[in-house]
Amino acid sequence: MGLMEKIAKKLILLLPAIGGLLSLEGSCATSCPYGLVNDPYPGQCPRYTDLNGDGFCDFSQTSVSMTTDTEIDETHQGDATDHTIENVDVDGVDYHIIPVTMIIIGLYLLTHYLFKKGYIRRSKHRRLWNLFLTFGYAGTGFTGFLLIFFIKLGIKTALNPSVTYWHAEMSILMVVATLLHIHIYWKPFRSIFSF
Amino acid sequence: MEYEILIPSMLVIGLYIITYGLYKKGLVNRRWHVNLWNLIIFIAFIISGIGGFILLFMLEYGLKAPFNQQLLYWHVEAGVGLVIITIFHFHYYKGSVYRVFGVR
Repeated sequence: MGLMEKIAKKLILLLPAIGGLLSLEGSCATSCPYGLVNDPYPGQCPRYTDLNGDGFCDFSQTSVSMTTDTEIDETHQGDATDHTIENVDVDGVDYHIIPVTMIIIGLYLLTHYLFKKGYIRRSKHRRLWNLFLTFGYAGTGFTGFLLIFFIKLGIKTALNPSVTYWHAEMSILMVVATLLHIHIYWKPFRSIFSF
Repeated sequence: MEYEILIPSMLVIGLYIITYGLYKKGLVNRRWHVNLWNLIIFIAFIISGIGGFILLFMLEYGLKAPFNQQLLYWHVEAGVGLVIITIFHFHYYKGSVYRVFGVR
């Protein structure tokens, strides 16, 4: 039995375990996608929703605590409307992971082809991808620091969802460009494990 | 979940100062210093970058795992370290950085 066959068999055996570990949103449509419990204001993602006004994201609250909150609200506000987080559109944000990844890889293949065919110099190809990588790191780092300060200082502005969105988009560029950077500098990369 | 910024930052800065000092004093060679920090940046990238990518993928496709919360925490902590290590990466490859930006 070849090595690939052995790996394929092990992967097949692991599939049910992976499936059990990852549960589809359909079974827990109103829970926090990060698994957070009682996530305080302003929340850690753009989906922060606080319909009952208790200062915690409704998605991060258990049904028990939500019921308790609702009961308290009802005793204080007889005419309170029935707010449910099921009514909130939680899928409003699309991060375009696969299209953005495909565009970056496609662009890399193009410049790699041009360099291999001699249309551009190797240094130009490297420089271009080092610039993309720097841009990705700068964008991800800057927006990441903005987000962490928003969370730590409890700042909630209209900009928060945009910052999160651009943090995610720039991180796609950062991750893919880093993998391409490793490909470009494959020999020096291998040497880091042999010092 | 309380994120730490100063502790990972100070840890990384302190460690860099130590290994940079060792290299400058001639106790270790440049290759050792550079390889060590390339390994550290790679580990930080795996935790923060790949971890963040997994979180984003799961968020986008409605998948949920019991390790999400821990992964988010370590994504942020490793991310804080990664920002600082990236600056050090520029420091020990400053010749290449100057060339990329056309300074020299």
